[in-house]
Amino acid sequence: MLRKMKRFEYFEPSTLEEAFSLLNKYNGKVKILSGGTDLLVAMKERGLAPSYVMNVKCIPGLDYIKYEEKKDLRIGALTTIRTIETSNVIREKFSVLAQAASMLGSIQVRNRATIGGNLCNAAPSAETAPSLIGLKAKVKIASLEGERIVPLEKFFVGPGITVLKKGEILAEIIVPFPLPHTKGIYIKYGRRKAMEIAMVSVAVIATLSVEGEVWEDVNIILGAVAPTPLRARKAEEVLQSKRISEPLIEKVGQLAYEEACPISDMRASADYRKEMVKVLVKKAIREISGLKKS
Amino acid sequence: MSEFTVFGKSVPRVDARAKVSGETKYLDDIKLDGMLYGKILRSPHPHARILGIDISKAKKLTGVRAVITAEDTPKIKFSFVQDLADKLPLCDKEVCYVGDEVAAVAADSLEIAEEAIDSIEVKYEVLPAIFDPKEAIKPSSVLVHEDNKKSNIAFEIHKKFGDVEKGFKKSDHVFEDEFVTSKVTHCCMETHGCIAYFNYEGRLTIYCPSQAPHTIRQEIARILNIPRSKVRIVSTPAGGAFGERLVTDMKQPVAAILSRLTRRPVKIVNTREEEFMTARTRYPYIVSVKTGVTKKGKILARQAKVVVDNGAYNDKGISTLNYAGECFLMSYNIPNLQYDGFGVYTNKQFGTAFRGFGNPQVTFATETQLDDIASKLNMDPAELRLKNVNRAGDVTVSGTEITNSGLVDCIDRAVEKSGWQEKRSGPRKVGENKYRGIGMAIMSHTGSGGRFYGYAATDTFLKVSEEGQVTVITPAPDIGQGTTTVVAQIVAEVIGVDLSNIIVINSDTDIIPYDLGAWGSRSVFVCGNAAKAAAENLKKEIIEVVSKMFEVSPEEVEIKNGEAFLKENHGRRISFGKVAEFSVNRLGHPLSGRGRYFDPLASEVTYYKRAGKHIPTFTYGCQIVEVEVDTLTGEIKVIKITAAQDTGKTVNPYMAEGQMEGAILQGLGYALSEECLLDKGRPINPNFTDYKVWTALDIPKEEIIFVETDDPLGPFGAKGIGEPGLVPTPAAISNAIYHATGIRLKRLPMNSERMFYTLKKRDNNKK
Amino acid sequence: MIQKRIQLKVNGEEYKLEVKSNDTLLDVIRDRLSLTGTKRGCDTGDCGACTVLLEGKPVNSCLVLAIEADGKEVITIEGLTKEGKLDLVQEAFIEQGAIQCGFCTPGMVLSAKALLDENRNPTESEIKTAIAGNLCRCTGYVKIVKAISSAAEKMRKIRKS
Repeated sequence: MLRKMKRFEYFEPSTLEEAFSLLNKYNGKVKILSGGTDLLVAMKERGLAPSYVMNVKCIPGLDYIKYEEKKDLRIGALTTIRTIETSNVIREKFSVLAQAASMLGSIQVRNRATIGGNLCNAAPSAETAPSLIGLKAKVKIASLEGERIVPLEKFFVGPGITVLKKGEILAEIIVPFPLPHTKGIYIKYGRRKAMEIAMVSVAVIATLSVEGEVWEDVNIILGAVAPTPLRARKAEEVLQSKRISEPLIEKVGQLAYEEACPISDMRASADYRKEMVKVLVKKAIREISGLKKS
Repeated sequence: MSEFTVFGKSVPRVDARAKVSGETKYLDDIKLDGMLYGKILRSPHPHARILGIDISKAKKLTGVRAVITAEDTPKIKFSFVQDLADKLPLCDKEVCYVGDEVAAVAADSLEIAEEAIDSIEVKYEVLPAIFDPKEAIKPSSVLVHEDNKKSNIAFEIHKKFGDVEKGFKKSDHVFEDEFVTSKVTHCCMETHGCIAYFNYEGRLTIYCPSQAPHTIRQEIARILNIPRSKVRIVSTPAGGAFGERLVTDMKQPVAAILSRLTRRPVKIVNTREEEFMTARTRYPYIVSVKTGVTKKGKILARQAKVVVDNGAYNDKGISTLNYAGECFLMSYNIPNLQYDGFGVYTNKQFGTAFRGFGNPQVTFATETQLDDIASKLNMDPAELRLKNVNRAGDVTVSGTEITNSGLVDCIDRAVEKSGWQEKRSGPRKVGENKYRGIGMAIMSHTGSGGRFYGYAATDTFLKVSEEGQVTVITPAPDIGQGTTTVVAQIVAEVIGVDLSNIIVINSDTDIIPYDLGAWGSRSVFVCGNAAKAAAENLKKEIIEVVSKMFEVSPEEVEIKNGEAFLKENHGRRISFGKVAEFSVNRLGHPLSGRGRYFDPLASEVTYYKRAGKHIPTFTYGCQIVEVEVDTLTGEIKVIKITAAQDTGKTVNPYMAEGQMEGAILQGLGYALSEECLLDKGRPINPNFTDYKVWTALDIPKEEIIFVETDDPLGPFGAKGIGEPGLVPTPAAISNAIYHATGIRLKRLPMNSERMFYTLKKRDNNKK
Repeated sequence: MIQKRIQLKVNGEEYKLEVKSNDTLLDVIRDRLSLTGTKRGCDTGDCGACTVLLEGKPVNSCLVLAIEADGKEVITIEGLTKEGKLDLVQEAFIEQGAIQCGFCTPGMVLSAKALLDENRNPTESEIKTAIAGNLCRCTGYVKIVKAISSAAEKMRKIRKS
């Protein structure tokens, strides 16, 4: 039942180290607040009642977008979705991420929500995940023991569950500089144009040959159709090093359809979600290749 | 141009400044001294017997001032129509839907009240529940009310004119179809709430947003078993209403009982989740329509059978069913008509009034079927309609004379403005798997409320202050639709004062005249007429006083711009303030005016029995919608809506457009995206994330056309148009989808998933 | 801590308040500061009725903890009226008939204000995006979009002259 949140003890660590020690001390009972657009809703609506809430937003140095030409893009975990959406460098060089960011909730929500929060909340429909996985993003996870880097693809374990261990915090998202001739598209499918949680989402990011005909590296990531964002590997494989053609596109769509394993809920039936995966994957590939179906 | 100076102009709303600056105090913005916060414990089961309630823990909590159950209430069952009473403010032995009221607390803070609710222990024996009205109507069904009902049929309505069987026999074609509409809700941006205060004299004041304060007053009195004179309703500015604030909501008597026990004001406000869970929805209808036509397209007979999913309790179910039947009889000149409706209990949240009042449901069915008939007869849908519509002067088979109608003009203008001819014959395929289509629907609806429950006269009072300011005391509730402004415009027009010199008082049943409230698109008509009559009387009085001051005959005096002057000598002028002063000091009477609207046909009311003279005047409309359907996904995109509406005379074009634009958006949601979803009676989308109200990014192009028919009964020719905007929208969309794809959707909402599978089924059948 | 003393600057005024951990910024604005122009429409960030400007940016105040807002600057609808004079956006809402029940209006106006502070020449689509997080059930948005566009035009004219 929707209600006022239960009281909790509130921490505002000013350094990562302080945050780590709080996490260790109150292990399991502390929730990290890094925007609040998911956490506070869960606390009001779904009875989540953590004894401790740790707001990490005051830790300096985790809110940044650093871009190094030919190397990588680094996004601090506390960067807001709105900052990502409006960042010139992300719009120009990683447009598929800017696209996804612009579709999350409303401007009010994007002004609060952070990319770290969006990923750690680990919703199957997490807006930024498909694009980032398709861009081969890695995440830097920090703890008292030091840092470790995990490919984002391996970060999600299940709805609301990630590989983060006791005392760990997601600190940074590292997006490698894409190879030349890389194109990407993110398609979100819902019932409204804003304030929507994806019924199905699809990111396709591909590196094409110089002439633009051969698909050399293909990444197809599906959102909201599995417990975690899902790579449609079989679909990717049949495209790998191939020249694009209509029959091939049909096949890719069919494979993605088969790989998706959604649930039925109030947003859509499982079957309709699978059907939409097929349609949207094909649409994404056609758009990237500039093909119009004849 | 117009002979008017204020009437008919897009003047800004009189309450706009307060609203835009955040000054307006809505219910939840009000705090009274000593006020407690109430909270209701609701049933988690769709159907269960209450075996016991333990409130001892709740009572012990610090800050809890009262905990009540049915034992603390008079246990008087309530319904809007008292013959159908079935709802207790707090359930005694049985709960009948998820959200049913079981117990309540009042505490020093909302936080404590919530904690107290959590600590109440209720023992339930879960009973079998029934959710499908088609199952529930069967004699063998599980009963929704175990205690005292013999069947789940809550009420019936039957109307019969001519002989439909004969009509069908004479027809060349007979069409039979079933249509199903969905459970949608008002989604007022302000959730419902109230503050109740029983003072030491035993007088109860309830502050709440209300569409019908006097009706609520008598309902509260009935539920609490106290005289009406002991109840005072103060309506607070409503953050939306659309029918939600028409009938007493159980929070009001519950808060009153909590206040009587604590002798402190008690506020209860719904959370958004409660609002959705206990939302009294638009009644879902299953409508079977049978229509007989000649080869040439003349409709000879039409019959409708309606099953209303009433939900767990009676509210406006019978009234909406009856009213939809009235409209069913109205639009077309059909010699044989029959309408049979059944209200069926189910273990679900129940319905109430919602903009359109049953008419959108039945219109969706009849207007979609008519489009199908046009296509089978190979006729233009506009032509088929024009061939059959009632025109001014016609008398329907049910005995209603069409006094005034803009319907033909509405169809003509909408056809012209939408590019109908061209688009009907133009290419449907507009891109890869994209198909466009254009469809229309018409509607008739009351433009003046109705004489459904008798009390058909009302008053308006005016007084002039020493500075010439005019105070208007009117019963017209402003629920956002702008009646305060409309009434002010009418008064200003008659007596020639500036709008800024008018104050409108319309909120307190201790002050305002008795009236039935804001529903049935009646305020402009009923309260507008009363205000106009009052203003005319005041004008007469001012002129008389001036004629005495100037020692001339009243015919020589004219009033304008807050002043009186001589027609022949504009130099001799005097302000209303001075006139008021003279009147008070020399003549011994303050300047005031009273006007009435009395409906002379009120004595002919035949409640629910037959149609005919329940509605003083009707309004008509035609909407034409263009859609684009993506056959790969089933997505239905509305490109443009052209809406022509008969306004009689438009009081305030911006406000009237606003009524239409807002109603159309609700109609779009109703048609395409909104639905209260339940899983075994449990709401599963009680929030704005999953209940899909459209955002600004979703709206199509809209063109609103007003057809002015100058209604002989309306104030300056005006009639009400609060509701009509959404009545034809779903049918027009359904018809456009058919035009685009050849697929006829007969179930709401027509969402992308439903469209996708209907397309798929057709393609499979083709193979 | 369960309670904390915070300092807020709201509409240019400084406030020192003791707040509980579970108080949202919305709770504090409405219940403690009595600035009731900020509305509670859903309490879950879905409707935008509680929109305020936090450090100049529109946010849903129901999804901000009061504690988090310590030391920050907040503008509510009451802060747009300067010495009794309405902001241009507010005037445009009145002139264009963009108000009906008025419950969404404060949030809507603040979202519009935030847009126009950044972008004096917004396209229709940019206007709609800016208010997509503010639900309105009365107007159908048509006149609200017109009002914002007309306010933008006025602002540009004032700039030029």
